[in-house]
Amino acid sequence: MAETDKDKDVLGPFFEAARATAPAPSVDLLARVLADAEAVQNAQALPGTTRMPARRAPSLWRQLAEAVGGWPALAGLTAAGVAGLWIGLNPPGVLSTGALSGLGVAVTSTVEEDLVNMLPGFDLAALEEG
Amino acid sequence: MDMPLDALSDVPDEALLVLFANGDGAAARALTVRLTPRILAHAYRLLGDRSEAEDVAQEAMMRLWRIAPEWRQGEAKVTTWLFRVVANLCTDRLRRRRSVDIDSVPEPLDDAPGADEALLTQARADALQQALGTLPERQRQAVVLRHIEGLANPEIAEVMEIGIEAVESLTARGKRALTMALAGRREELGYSDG
Repeated sequence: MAETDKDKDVLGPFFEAARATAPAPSVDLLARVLADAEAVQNAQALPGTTRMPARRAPSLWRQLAEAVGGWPALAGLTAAGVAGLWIGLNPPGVLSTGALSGLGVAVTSTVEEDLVNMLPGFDLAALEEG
Repeated sequence: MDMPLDALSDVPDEALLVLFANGDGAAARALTVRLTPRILAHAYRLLGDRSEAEDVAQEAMMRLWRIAPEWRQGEAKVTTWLFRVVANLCTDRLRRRRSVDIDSVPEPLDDAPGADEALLTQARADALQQALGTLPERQRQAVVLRHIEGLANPEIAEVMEIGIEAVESLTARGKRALTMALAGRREELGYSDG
């Protein structure tokens, strides 16, 4: 293993340099990737649903909040918990409390109603306990 | 473009993908901002060419967008899947190159770099990239995933669809080859044992 360690010592600075100089995507590339994303979403939109723009909180969040028992319960979730709920949800328009029962949502803090409005497209750090 | 880069920053990739598949625009933006840099950098390390790496990155992300509705939770990680797609796309491009395209290899510096640390760092990175380009593809992929992308061996095994022992063998051989390739340039690159 000495050979491996020696190789690692020699190469260490080079790997660090590679990480430090990672090529960053141009704004143009990011824009193209995002445009592709939006085009695919538009093409895949189910009949009767519309793509939810980034700046508006989608109505699904309100359905979710009502299903789990209001804003305080939803706000008590960590972001990971929210993601977990999403994983368990049915497609848009089909949301029942039955699907969410037994998830054990714990209320650990009180937050304003506007908090859930912040979730998509906004800083989720606001959900973390200070 | 107004992009809050920390939007949805704590939501896992897999959950963002579910949101994306349900038409969420913020999830599209968050995934784009989070994943594109990583796969662009990875493609560049496999190809040594920035322009080609951009094409690969865009194509890989397009495949992710298309597969999102079928994504099965709990199977692979999004990044594992993307690394595999990037490698496959890069392999296709490398096969199309009939010989090593000298223009795609970073130029070595003729003179010893000055005291400027940023120049030195870039010179080392370029030297490593050049050396990586001399490795067999699979050794290069394994070494890059392990020592630059920072993946653990089990995840590399999943990306490369081989066993963990095979990963260890590839990385060991790759590092030996890199060490030899870079040995003669260490003084030039300001690297000393002290």
